[in-house]
Amino acid sequence: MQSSTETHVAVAEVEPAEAEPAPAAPLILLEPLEGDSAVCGPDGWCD
Amino acid sequence: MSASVFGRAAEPIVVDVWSDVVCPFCYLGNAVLKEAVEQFPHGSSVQVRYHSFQLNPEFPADQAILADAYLEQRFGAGNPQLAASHANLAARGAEAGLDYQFERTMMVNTLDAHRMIHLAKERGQELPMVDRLFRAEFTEGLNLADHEVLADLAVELGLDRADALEALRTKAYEKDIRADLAQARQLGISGVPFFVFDNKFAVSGAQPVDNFRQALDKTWQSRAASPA
Repeated sequence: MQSSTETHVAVAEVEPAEAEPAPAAPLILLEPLEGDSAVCGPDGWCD
Repeated sequence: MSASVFGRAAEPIVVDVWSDVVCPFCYLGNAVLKEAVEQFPHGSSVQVRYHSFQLNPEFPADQAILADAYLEQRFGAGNPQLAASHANLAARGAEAGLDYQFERTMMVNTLDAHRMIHLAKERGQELPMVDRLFRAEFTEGLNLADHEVLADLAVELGLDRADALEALRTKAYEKDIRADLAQARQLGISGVPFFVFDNKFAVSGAQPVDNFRQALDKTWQSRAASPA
């Protein structure tokens, strides 16, 4: 484990990015067969 | 005559995956997608591309703590839902041939690990690098914010150590990572893993293999219904 008195956060800068074009039509989300979302959210929680 | 000679069937089905290397469901989703592609009759016509996503972009770049300690700080020590989540993942992971070792898994800022995936992509080693980083994180408990660790993994895959360290030192691939993150925002992705099939169908989460098979089948059928 590393330690430091300084906090250096590495975040990709959020200037306008050259993203690939979004799909012309909305995505069709295929719903899960079972109940669990099976994702991890931006708060770090997974369920 | 087979439609694979002309038209869209001659192109690979592209599966775009948004994922973070500290996301346990992403490790599982990677394995399940792989299994679905192996089962899919047209599996040789599937191209999987990984895209960067950061669950904890604000996590300090120069720190690493046990993931359980981090989660207990955020969600409370002894949280029964955390234990249940680990048990569920361990069981599903074992079925998929994965060995989760949650007691040694580290929480880090994953930006540098994503740089390694983009470097590996340039060298034709994207998917092996994704696999290697997941195993390093969830089975071996390696610190994926440590440049020497990342360089070691790159060397394992046949990449040049100096190239890896230079990419880390110069903060390479920022533009590519920003593009991945921006595209995730455009698509409304708030959790990972997230899978997009041919820019048409989507699967959210590490769903059972049948869901991925269904997505591949629907994508293939969709092409047949709308040839080029």
